[in-house]
Amino acid sequence: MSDGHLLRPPGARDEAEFLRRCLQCGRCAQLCPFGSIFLEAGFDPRTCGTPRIDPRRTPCWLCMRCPPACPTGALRPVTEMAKAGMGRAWLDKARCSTYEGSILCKTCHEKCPLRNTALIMDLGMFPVVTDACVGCGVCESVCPRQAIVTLPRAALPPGAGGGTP
Amino acid sequence: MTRPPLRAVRRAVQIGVALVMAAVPLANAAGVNWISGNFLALDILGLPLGDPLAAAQVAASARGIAWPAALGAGLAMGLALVLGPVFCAYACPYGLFSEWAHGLARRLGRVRPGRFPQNGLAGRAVLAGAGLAVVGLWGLPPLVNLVSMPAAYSRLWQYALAGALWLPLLAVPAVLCVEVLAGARLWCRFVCPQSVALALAHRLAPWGLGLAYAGKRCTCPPGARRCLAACSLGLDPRRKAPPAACTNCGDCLDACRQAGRALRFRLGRPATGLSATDSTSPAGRL
Ligand code: SF4
Ligand code: SF4
Ligand code: SF4
Ligand code: SF4
Repeated sequence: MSDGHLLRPPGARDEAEFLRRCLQCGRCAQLCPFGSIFLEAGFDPRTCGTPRIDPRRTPCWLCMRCPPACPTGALRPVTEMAKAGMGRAWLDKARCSTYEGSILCKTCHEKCPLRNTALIMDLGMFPVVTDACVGCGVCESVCPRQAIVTLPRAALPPGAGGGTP
Repeated sequence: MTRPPLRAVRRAVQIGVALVMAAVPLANAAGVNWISGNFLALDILGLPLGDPLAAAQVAASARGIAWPAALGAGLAMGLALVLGPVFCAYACPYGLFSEWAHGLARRLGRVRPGRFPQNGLAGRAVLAGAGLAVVGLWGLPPLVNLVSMPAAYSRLWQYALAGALWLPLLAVPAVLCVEVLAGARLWCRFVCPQSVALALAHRLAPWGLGLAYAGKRCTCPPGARRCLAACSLGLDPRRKAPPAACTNCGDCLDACRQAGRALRFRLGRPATGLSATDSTSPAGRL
């Protein structure tokens, strides 16, 4: 996670507003059928108890069950995958097997819940993450070369997509 | 026919709540979702129930009503308006632990009645109000939740499942130790900000459940009042209006049943026109 920013569940508002609203009730984490969300531990009184996702542990599969469960609207009640607005994935071509020319991998493309919009295949071969990516982290979790990192929305440079609402 | 002491019923409820709340994260992980959340915001069969102070902090900080949480807080307040702060006596797991700690303090001879003041609600209200103001004015996260003892209890289980430790949890055994040493339930009486709204509702609602004391029936000799000895919060229930910190736990009532039966529960308080000494009031006994 860059700059200490945390990858939040789908529908999360801008980080400052999210922190104001999140009650730390843990419902989102308890109801996630994949166990993707865990509650931040530690000493920081502002963030401890708030939900986060670590794609290398378990990514979010964009089932969109958690946003409507949030009692405070810290997660906006979105149900459309394309509006999850969690962040954005970045693919390091230097590490990707396909770009490197060793093997034709395609794993990320096959698993992306928004395949062909968020993750497209250039020339039918080379994976490209687009601005439609919402940052669920599935591609990061499945990439055998660890060529992909998911940045939380709060850590993105302005205008860098991330399926912002 | 003798009724079972209220205390036995209350213990069963308290332990039941503590067990259910411990089981919630496990149940959710197993796909059972009719109950979810923690003591800050619960959802039971689609019905929200939550901590009024938590919802108030979000409303103050985000400058807007957060609906399901506000509704849950409203339901909790409604319950307190009718039944008093029964959450503290019948549901809060910290209350249960604190009562057990107090029992231990009693056995160790550390409880000395009259050492701490009777009134603690004003101080608690100031603490809660200050916390709410700071969070609201500076637009901070709901920081007062960090000192919610019931929330700490549910978080213990939420974190245990994830194999993580949430460090403020260590505060719970620490406060319990202090309470045993002091021989008084200091947190619930003088600190807990979460119970303030519930206690105020109890204080202000004239129609709610509360104690009524019929002085002329009291048979205990001065210096050996059973009710005083029974109240784990160190309150004196022999008043025209019930003590502000009273949680309607009924321990004093159970004790008084062995003596003059001068204490009763009553809907509608003496302050609303029912005489404190009129034990045959039609307002009803409970
Ligand atoms: S959208 Fe589904 S998979 Fe993703 S975090 Fe929410 S509940 Fe879990
Ligand atoms: S459901 Fe909402 S309020 Fe509760 S922990 Fe998740 S984001 Fe926070
Ligand atoms: S590109 Fe990766 S992070 Fe973006 S939506 Fe697809 S799987 Fe999720
Ligand atoms: S005064 Fe009686 S009912 Fe009230 S808290 Fe004390 S023992 Fe319980």
